[in-house]
Amino acid sequence: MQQTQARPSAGGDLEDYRRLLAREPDSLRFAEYADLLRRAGQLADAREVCERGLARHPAYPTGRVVMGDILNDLGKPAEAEGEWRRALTLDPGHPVAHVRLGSLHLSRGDTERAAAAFEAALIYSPAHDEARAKLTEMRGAGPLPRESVAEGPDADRRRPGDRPGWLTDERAHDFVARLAASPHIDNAAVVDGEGAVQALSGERSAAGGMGPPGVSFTGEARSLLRRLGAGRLRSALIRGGALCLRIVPVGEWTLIVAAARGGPVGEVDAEIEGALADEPPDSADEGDYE
Amino acid sequence: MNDNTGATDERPRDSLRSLLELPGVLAGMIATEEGLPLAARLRSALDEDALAAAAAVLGQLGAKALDGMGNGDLGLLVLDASKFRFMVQPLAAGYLMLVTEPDAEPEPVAAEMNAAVIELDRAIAGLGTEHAA
Repeated sequence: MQQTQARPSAGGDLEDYRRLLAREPDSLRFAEYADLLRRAGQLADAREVCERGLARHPAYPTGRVVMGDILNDLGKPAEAEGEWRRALTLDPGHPVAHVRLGSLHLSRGDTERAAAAFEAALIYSPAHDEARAKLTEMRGAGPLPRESVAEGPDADRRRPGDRPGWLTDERAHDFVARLAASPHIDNAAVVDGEGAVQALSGERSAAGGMGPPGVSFTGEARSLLRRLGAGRLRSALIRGGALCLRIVPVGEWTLIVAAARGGPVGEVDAEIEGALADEPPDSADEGDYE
Repeated sequence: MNDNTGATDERPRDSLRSLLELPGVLAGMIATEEGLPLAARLRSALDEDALAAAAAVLGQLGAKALDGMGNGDLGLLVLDASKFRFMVQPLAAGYLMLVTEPDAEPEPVAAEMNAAVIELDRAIAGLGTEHAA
């Protein structure tokens, strides 16, 4: 995945780039040169350089992004959008292209799509300052529309992804123990938002090893669903070589359950649903769940 | 195989067409590992490019999660969201993804999807053989 930004190198100037491209006309640094010309306000020259470069390298995503920037500065936002979208077709993870599209959506008042684009940029480039700043700025102006989308008649009920009030740090072990007692479940673990294991069903539980990847999966899946406008994450099922993983967001925690690949997923789900619905007796009073 | 590659095999499109006849299936997509659409059948307002990118991202996320457990290759990933369900299965080259209604029965769809993957992998292998010959 290419994530380079077209920025002039330190100390580079227009004449250096002109000479370089005269010497190496196939160089990809046409994008940097065009971007430098754009920043200097020489838009016609910038466009010509970029068009020439793209004629040689039509599938260079950063070249497409720079071309979009030039067209945008020339007052052609629709054409600019086309170039930024082309960049994403060539490289779906190009953060600058996501940010440019986000800014365009924002300028059109489409805050939902803007936020989705900035979040997409942050998925592929978590340290992208501009994307983070834009999102922060938008959130500072009030809740984003997508967060206030009504969920229909279920909106007033406790949402399935919420953590039950009784499921505290102290009760997490009881919760996991109840799940692991099921004949359909091999291992279970609850991990917090940082990937630290709150509770797991054995010393060397396979599910325990899933902590950080499981939390990472949940975070990235949530962002993806937002971008797609697909609503809230309810759960995920991942079938691998021998095991089947059920990943369920439980408030800021993530529940990870490992079961045999061919096992009955419906039974596993019923166990999870039951365990979340019923407050277990205190383990100090009741012992195990066998 | 599709408009983007210029290949002419219709089997992928036929497979997608059959899958879209299943109850609750809204969209079918074959995407490259890089997230580019190879073939798509959409019955909803979902964006084709975004779906193709999502297929690849989900396939990679599933594989990464399994890798964390040393649990082999990804067989199937099902992502349940409040508005849609996404089902992703790896192909020999790329991913097959179906988008269904959130409450559609997943098991029959998964079974048909599995059959389609076998068919698609055969088609892809066949194309490779034809090109080699």
